[in-house]
Amino acid sequence: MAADIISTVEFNYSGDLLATGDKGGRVVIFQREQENKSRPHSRGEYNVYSTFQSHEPEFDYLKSLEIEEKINKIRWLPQQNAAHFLLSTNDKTIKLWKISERDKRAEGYNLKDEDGRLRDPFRITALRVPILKPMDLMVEASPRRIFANAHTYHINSISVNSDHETYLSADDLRINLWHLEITDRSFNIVDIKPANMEELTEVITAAEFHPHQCNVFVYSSSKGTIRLCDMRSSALCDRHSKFFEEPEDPSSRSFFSEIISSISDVKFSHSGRYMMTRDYLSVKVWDLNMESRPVETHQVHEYLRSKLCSLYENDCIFDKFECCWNGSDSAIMTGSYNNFFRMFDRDTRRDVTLEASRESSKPRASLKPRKVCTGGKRRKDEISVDSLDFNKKILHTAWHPVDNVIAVAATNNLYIFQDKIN
Amino acid sequence: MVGGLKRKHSDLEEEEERWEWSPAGLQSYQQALLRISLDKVQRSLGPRAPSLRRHVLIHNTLQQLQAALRLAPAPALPPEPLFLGEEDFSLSATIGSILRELDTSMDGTEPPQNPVTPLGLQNEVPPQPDPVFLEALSSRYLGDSGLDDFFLDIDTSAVEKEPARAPPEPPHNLFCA
Repeated sequence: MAADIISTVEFNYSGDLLATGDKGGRVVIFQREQENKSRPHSRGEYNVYSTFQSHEPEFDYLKSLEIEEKINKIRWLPQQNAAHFLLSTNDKTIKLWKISERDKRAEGYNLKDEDGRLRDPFRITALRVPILKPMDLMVEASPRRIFANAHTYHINSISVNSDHETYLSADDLRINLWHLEITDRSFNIVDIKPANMEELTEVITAAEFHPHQCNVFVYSSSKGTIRLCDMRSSALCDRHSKFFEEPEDPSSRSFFSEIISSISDVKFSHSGRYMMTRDYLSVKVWDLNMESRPVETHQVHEYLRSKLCSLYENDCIFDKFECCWNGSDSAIMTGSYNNFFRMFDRDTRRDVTLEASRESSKPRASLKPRKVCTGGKRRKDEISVDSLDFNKKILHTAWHPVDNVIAVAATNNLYIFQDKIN
Repeated sequence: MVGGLKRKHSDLEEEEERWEWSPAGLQSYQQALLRISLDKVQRSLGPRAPSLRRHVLIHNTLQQLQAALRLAPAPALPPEPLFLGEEDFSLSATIGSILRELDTSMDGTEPPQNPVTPLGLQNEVPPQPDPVFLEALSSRYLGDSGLDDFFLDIDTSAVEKEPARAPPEPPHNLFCA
């Protein structure tokens, strides 16, 4: 079912919860099982914890346009009490959801009986104190804030600030700053809309707050550039503090050079010293102190470079792949086609291609590395470029903030892989 | 959506991988890209607001193609005419007018709740965009003889004739349901 296509995956700060959003506007949260001596194999398994409908399809009558309910991004808030909070967004509206557990209920009300029916007040002759009784665990999700009507264009990113009080939301042309408590206004901090829309040549593709410096954020563009902005320097951050761009290699220039340079995702490292960008064919790691070029470039599927015309024709060239860091920033991961995903170890410089599919993933079996044959004689277990299935794309992946656990979304299936213990 | 890569345009891939391009080969490749790009723009209009990023990327690619086609030397043989008649001109959903339409459809009513007037510089005088491509394809000029100037390299007398080959698929009217 098309509505089940997963459109975002995100671990919370502890990694105990994993949220997915889908095309149908639903959010499904998985919870990691605690260690249990009687069921040793289930340690670390993720099971469904809560499911709720976050967004519904809407129709903008004024502009005669449908607004999709697809969840573009989910971001968790740091946990402050027993309840969990997350932000989920579609193209136009961001919502703050509270997820809380209820494992007790009150019995012995004065004004209503056990069925919930109101009691006739004239019949009440004595007062009693209701008592709490245990019940089966119920997980409830309730919308606490709705941040609407601030984006004319499609929201592509949300990012919670390290101050835990504000967050940003970015669409194609603007970035807004919100306070989590205030829904009726936001501050516009970036606006790249030209006076004349016909002159538009560049859009915002992703944005993120720095993990530690609450005044700093970055945003990437469709021309392969990243701008780092400091909110202390001016209210409207149209002027950037830093501008990151790698000079183009003239020998590989083609009509598709700009399209494939378009950055689809930008993520700060946990340390805050680096950031990673994903463009169509590669992942680049940038040192925030060096704007002239990335410090690392990792090829995801360079064998597609000679196929760009076909990929332009079938629209695959516009696919937006995400990327993520592991907890120690020593490895990075991103998706590809044919349900392949790639992991790069920054220390050892090794990389591996793995596949997320039922056939190649038996429970508790190891994943076998895959290889794409780019030319010449194809080995037995290699797959040729022309046999790749471009409908099976892994756009969304997430890495546990501490452990070696990864979540990979393959169309409407979620795969969770864990490192073997001993 | 396509599963594999073998397509009717596999010839284009082979040409891509060749080191040397004949002028005619290069031009037919560019014209095919032009056709694909314009087709994309037309098809992307639907009940949902189109992806602005996709439009802008296709627009920029079209500008590059147009620049390249203008620079290309006239080939020895008359090339297959890309635009075969008035009908096909309406096919070419003008990128300029698309972006204009996006402006009015998406931004026409600025939400009242975006309150803080941003400080800082307003846009300076914008750089002059390349006028030829946008103007030539703009719907204002449909049927205008000014279009002859755009297709410098193409024998425009072919525009009047019936096409030698039927188009691969029935032409879509941008405005039909």
